[in-house]
Amino acid sequence: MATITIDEQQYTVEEGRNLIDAAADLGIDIPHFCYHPGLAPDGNCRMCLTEMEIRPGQFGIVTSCTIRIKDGMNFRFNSPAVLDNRKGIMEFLLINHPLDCPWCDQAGECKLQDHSFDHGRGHSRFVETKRVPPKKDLGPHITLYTTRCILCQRCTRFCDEITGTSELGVVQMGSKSEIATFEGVPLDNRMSANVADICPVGALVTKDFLYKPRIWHYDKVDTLCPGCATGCNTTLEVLHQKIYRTKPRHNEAVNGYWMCDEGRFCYHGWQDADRLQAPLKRVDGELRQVTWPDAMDAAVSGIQAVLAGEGDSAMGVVGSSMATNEENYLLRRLGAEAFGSPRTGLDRKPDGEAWTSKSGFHIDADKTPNTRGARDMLGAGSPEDILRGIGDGTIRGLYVLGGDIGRTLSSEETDAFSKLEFLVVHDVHRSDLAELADVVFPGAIPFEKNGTMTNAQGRVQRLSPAFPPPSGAREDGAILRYVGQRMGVDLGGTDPAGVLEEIAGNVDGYAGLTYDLIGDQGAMTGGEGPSEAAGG
Amino acid sequence: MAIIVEARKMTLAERLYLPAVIKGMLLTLAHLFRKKVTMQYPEVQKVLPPGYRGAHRLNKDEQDRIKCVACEMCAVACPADCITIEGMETEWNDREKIPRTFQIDMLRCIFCGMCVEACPEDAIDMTDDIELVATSREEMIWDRERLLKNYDETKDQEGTLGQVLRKSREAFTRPRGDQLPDPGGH
Repeated sequence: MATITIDEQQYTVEEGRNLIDAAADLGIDIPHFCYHPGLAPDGNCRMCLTEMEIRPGQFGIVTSCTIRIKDGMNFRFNSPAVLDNRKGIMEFLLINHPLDCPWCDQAGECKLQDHSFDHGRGHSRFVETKRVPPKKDLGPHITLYTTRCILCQRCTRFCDEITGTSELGVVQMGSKSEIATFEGVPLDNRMSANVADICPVGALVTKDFLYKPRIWHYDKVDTLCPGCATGCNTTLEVLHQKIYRTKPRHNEAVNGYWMCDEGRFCYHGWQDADRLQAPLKRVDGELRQVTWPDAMDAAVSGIQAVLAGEGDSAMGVVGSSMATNEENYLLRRLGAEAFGSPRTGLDRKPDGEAWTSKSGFHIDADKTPNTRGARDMLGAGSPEDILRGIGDGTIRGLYVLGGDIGRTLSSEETDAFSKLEFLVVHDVHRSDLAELADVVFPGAIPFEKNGTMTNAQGRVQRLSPAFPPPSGAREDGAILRYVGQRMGVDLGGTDPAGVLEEIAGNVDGYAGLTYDLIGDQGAMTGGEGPSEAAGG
Repeated sequence: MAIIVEARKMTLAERLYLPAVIKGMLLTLAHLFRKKVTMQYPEVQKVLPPGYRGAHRLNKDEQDRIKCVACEMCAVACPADCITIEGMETEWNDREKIPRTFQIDMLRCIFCGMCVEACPEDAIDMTDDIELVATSREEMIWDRERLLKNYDETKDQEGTLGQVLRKSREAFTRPRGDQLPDPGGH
């Protein structure tokens, strides 16, 4: 720890820390543009200039972003020289800025607006013609409004330091400087849309979020990205039951300040899916919409018919790596208590392409968010195990948690599932799997779920619903509870926190976990490495 | 405790009541020869003062294009929350964004004129059209086309709220920045 003086007040802060961050911890805001905590300090915007005592009694102007705290440092944040400098910098930055806030998509979260309000002069002395360079299409996701750029170079540093792809650079000199890509090399890497997040002004914007409602309308929901097993922490921006934007939420242990483009834009696939609006029941070989009690009757009588037949484990249950830990745990309980120790499996789509950035940001090959958690909850065997069971006739009925829009069935899976006497599926749209089922319950997509998921490194994290499921659909946990009730098994209350309490008591590695402990940053499971068998 | 007040005795003239009646009738009679205040509405229309806050319109520019840039400042300023806007891209190169939908719920609107004051583009305006009649609630939700049509119908009107506000703004606008005395400190 180090003791420093700011405006003649003594503070104790961590030694070696950056002055902007240290001041932020103390609740003092130092205005800045080019500094970003996820990137190396650059000191080019000059907005963060403060006065530091360089010789006893003599103060000099320094950039706060490049200052590391040492014991005994003495700063002035509000001296006339500092305030004057800020005013001057703001005036320089606004020389060529078009002041097109009314139709700029950054308005409301723009640092230039904020700092201009706090430190600007309210009118312009610049009477010459402003430079108006044309806007540029940088890549598949990003557009550059060249006029709005203040050349803080956060984006070029992001491409150098984080992705290591270095697509962006500054061309021309002096007042003609512009951010540009090399000819024929678009900004097209797997994390490219992050540059729009870190751009302090409205220069870099995602094409996805152009001309959308103003940012202050949105409800913000902290949740997880369902795109892969990394489990990036995200914030959804929701308006009228619709997601408009996903932004990464800082979690140093998982995703830092970033997220990948696939994850960022994956909400479109879920949101545009043709959702099931009512349960489906097979009548004369065809799936028809029925009411919930009808579907429930059909499911329960079908399951009981299978259980009444020969064999001990005639019913199998298959969990989903798209479902939360709580839902998979309830499924296992339903299987064990209502179906009599059935075999468990896990439904997961084939792996995608993994990628690790220069800075170590990892996109997992497993394109489902909760494989590890589902495996922990179910103690699941391989999908082949279930298929073999169906093949040799020991599994004649199956209860499957589906709900993955990207999941398609291979021909051998289709063959196997068609052999089943009875198939109950939870799904969100009419997938390949749902088409084979006898009863389909409309479930929830990950953005409608409340619970926890365990990422590939074993971190248990919270998932919060952005909006409720469509009126005809239900949360999967609630459906499992209804089925349990009809079969004479009480699966407990509706609160997922209560289910986690049960999990903490029953599943290896999850002991002691509560929603409070998990918080918004997650908590690690106890054991290192995947625990194969779930205790019970 | 009550205080007993002796009532004043009325004079003979007062007791007759006739002088008072005649006085009243004379006043009535005098009104017959004054200027009439009653108007034969709707045959005769009232001339409304400039800056009257009647039905809205969406202004068009010289090239007959919508002026609005979908910045939603009017929606932010609106205390009744009756304006709904959705933006879209334009193909005109002098403008970035125009509204795809622009709805004003005239049933909710309280005609305060804050939207006109908030507009940075002089795009929304209020006219002296006060005859807001419809046979259904849906009809009272004015969309973009209806508001633009109102501009075509009222574009010759002098002294709309927008024009009045612009005039007063110009009167109070400070001189250009370069003529301002330096605020000091440089």
